[in-house]
Amino acid sequence: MNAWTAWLISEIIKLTAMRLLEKGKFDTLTEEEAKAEALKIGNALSTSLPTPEDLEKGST
Amino acid sequence: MKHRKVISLVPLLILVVWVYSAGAACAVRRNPNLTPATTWELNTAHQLQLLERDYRTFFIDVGDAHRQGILTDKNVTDLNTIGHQLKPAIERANQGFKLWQTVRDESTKQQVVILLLEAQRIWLELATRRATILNGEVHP
Repeated sequence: MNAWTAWLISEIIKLTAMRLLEKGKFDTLTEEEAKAEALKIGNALSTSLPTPEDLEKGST
Repeated sequence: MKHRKVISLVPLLILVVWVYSAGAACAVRRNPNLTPATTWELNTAHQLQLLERDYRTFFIDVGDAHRQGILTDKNVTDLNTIGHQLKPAIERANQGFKLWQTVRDESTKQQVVILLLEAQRIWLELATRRATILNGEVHP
C-alpha cells in the first residue's frame, strides 16, 4: 500500500466516522430546542471562509 | 493495463460517493416532536455546517499531505482549483440560509436548496478528483 492509498483510506474512515456520529443526533430535541439549535448553527455559519491555500498553510 | 486501472477505480468511486453522499444524511431522522418546517431547518443547517467543516478539514489535510510529500505541487493545484469553486458555493449557501432564517419565505427556501445542492455537487467533484489522483491519473 503506497502513502497515497493509506492517506485516502484514513480520510474516508475519518469522514465516515464523523458522519455516523452525527446521524440522528437531534432525534430527542423538543420543537423549541430544535428551533434554537437551528438558529445557533445558522448564526455560526461563515459567509467568508478561508481560501484553500490559507487552510493548507495552517494560518487560520 | 489502462482497462484494469479503470476497473479498479469503480469500487473506489462508489465508496467515495457513498461516503460523501452520507453528508446529506439527516441529523433528524425520527423525531415526532418536530414540525416538518423545523425538521427541514435543522437538517439544512446541519448539512451546511458539515460542508463547511469538511471543506476546512479537507484542505488542512491537503496541506499536511503536501508537506509530507504525499501530494505533489500539481496535485495540490488541481485540488485547489476545485476548492476555489467550492468556497464561494458554500458561502452563498450559508448566506442564503441566514437570509431564509430572517425572512422565512418559500422562494428563499427554494434558493437555499439549489445553493446547497450546488455546493454538495462541487464537494463530490473534489472527492472524486482526489480518488482519480490516487488512481495515478495525476500523481506522477
